[in-house]
Amino acid sequence: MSPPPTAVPDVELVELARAGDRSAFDTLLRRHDDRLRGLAFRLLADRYAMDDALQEAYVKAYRALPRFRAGSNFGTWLYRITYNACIDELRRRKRAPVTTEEPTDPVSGRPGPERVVSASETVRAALARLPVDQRVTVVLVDGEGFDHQEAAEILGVAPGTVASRLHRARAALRHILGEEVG
Amino acid sequence: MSEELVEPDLVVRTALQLLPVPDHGPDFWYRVATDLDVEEALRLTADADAPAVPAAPVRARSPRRAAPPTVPLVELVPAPGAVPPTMRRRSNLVLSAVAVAAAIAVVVAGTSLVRSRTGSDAATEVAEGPEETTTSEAPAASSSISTLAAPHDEPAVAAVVAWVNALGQGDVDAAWSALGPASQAHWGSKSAFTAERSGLAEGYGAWSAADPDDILLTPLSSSGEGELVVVTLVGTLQQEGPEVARADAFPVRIVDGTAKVELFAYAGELEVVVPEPVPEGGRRPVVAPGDELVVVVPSDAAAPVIRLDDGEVLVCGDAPGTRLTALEGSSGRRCGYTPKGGIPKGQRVLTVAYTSTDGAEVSAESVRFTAA
Repeated sequence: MSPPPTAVPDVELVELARAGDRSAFDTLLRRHDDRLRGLAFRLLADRYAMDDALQEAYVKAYRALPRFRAGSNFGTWLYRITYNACIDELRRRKRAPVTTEEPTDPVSGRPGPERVVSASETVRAALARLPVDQRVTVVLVDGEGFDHQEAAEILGVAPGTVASRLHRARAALRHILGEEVG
Repeated sequence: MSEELVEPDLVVRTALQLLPVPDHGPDFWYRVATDLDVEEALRLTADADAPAVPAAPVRARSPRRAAPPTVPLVELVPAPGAVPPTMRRRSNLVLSAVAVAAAIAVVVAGTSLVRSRTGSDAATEVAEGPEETTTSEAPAASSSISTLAAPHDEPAVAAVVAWVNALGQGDVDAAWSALGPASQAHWGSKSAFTAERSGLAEGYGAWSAADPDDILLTPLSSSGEGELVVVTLVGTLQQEGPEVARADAFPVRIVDGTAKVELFAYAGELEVVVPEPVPEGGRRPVVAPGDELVVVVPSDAAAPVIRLDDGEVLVCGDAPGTRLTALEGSSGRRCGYTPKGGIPKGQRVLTVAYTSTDGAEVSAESVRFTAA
């Protein structure tokens, strides 16, 4: 979650934002938006729901900014808010995400355009079949590259819980995707 | 903790990377900025005991959602007496701040509209060179009139033109009047619609200063009242920065010769999978001529149609070249369309739409893409 070397560090932007600098807050949002979209879309499987959840998350972050603890990791903090907004969005939707018509093997060979579509549909369907707690864990660790400690901070659980959820999520995904565990 | 769990699972990671993450919708950052304006105004107003203003805050949500169209997205203000006095006072502050912020947003939107109209006609130029035309021809843009001047002999087109022009001009009354009953029901009240006028002006109202490359009319069969048509405006818009190639679908219902825009009468979700829509300013999606075009609709979607450019309007599952299949484990259905002879190379527009079973609601979307 570290910014490019030439950019103003998060910690400085956070201080500016807390002092009322809206552009600093905007910069923070746009800096982290790519990865937050990854989390939200993989959790919600719907781009409109993704936008709604992120809109909610960014406003909540702005409201909560005065309570942000100095020394904390802003990215992790924003992930946590986004995760909670996604859970709220899932509760609001109360419907199953769209899934694919039949599973295919997405990870063998070099897929052409049709193959890629089929693979993405399959992955989306596979993710949708995981319980939310497992889904978010595997997305954070395998999708976004967080370690267990960071994922635990975001989710508000113990690192051991992350490990067990991850183990179950990976096994389920491999099973759904038809991958033979070697 | 095993070593397997410490390191990322490469198979799972690879699989996750196969799921492309879309960019935001075109109005996302504007919506965020508007919300943050409200929050900022709240902070400012919290220190100044401003008088109460009877207005309800409304948060704009993503378009084309599956939310019930009759439920307006209004943040409810607790009824007096149901909450402690301190909470009621807080509500007044909130309402005051929202009103202040709304005024700020309108001024900002008005400024940007004025800016777009005082600029050169470059905003209406097509960025990507000549495209293969589809149906109607739009007249050349006037240098003195900033509103969209499309053919008015077709009531559905005239209704859409009137609506986007009303938005572009900030005429909320006209814009509200141009909406059909189902779309008005979606908003719940005129005040709720009015609260979002700046965002709508920036989004759909941008067409008022544009000269569409094409205007497509896609008739739908509907068991509802009157005639249902999808008007698709195809063109290049200038929106707070770079030019954006867009194709926007506007459902219109014509009853007794009167056409009303039913853009907000959502029948449910509609997801174009191939070509995958790209965000504002993004590269236009490219598909191979032999690719299958894929759309996902709810299982209860009535007569979903798919259409390439101004070609035949095809009912998915019935027309040759189309396939409508159930999706395992979901309520959706997959509509696939492989045009006979392949997709002609060049710039194309795909339009998809369906209605609810009673024909009262309609969802429609158009996507620009390149076949190469």
